[in-house]
Amino acid sequence: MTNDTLRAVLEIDRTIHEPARLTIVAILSVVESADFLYLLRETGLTKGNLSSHLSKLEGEGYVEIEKTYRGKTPLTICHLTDKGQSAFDSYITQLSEVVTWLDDNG
Amino acid sequence: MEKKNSLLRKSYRHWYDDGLGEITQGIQFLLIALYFWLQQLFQGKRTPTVILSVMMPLVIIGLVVSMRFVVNRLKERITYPRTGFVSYRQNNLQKRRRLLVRIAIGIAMGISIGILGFGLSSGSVAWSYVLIGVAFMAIYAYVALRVGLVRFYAVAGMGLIAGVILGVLHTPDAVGMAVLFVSFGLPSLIIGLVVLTRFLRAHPPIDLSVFEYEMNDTDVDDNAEEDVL
Repeated sequence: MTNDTLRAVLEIDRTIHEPARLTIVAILSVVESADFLYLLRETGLTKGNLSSHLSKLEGEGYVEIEKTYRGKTPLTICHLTDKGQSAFDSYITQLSEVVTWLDDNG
Repeated sequence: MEKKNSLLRKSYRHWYDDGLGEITQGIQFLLIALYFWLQQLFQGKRTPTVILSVMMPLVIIGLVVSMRFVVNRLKERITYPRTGFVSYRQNNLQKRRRLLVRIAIGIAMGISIGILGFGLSSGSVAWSYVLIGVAFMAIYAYVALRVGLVRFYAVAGMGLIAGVILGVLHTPDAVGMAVLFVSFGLPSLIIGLVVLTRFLRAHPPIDLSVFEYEMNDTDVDDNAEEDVL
């Protein structure tokens, strides 16, 4: 049981586990959608970094990116897909189990 | 869960960062005050009074609809190019709560207008001031609690105080209503303008059009990812 719980860490979703992507996914998990500028401000990442992480999340099917216009302003709208939400929930559960085990046995 | 709520609250608060909501709410209340003042001005004159009475619901609905439209257009020009766009996730419970708040506003307005329209005793009119003050306070306190902005508690408190003072003073019907709505609208407008000024100073527009969203950018430090576990 001990090994199983700890080994579960190895199975953790690395796409989400990376700190910058975890921040992005955490923000998107509580909103319907957010644009690139909002994520840029909230995460504190550089433009290149943010776009690269979004690209990776989009590639995994966790985030959907839509380029649109609001009035005359171009907007890059991002939202978490069902697959992304489910992956994030699983990630939280897995980490919680490990943390609980460490609290109980540490 | 607490951190998740904090993130959620922050996304709600984003809507109020620019003060545009308070400015337009302030203008709405001031226009309603103007309506009551006109009612007092034309008191005793049958035709203008009938026209004003018929117009009241249309004025309120028109204000709510048009101000929402105006706020959205202003945000497109002022807010989104500076701090970005976010839309909130609302479950059915939240939608029902919002609907209840709107119904509460409608009922409070309806009761007060009904009391004025049927010319009940001055005692009832006095209670209607307090009732509207309490409703106003409840709405603003709810928003303050929801988004965690202290300035809304101040506006809520001022609304309640104005309602109670006017109730105690037994101010004549339409004049009292005009004063009451001015006391709601003016603080809201002033606070909104102060917040907007600060917002514009703190957040110059960011031009992302030169950047464009690059899918092949490799600025990310993926080595850190490998070291994490």
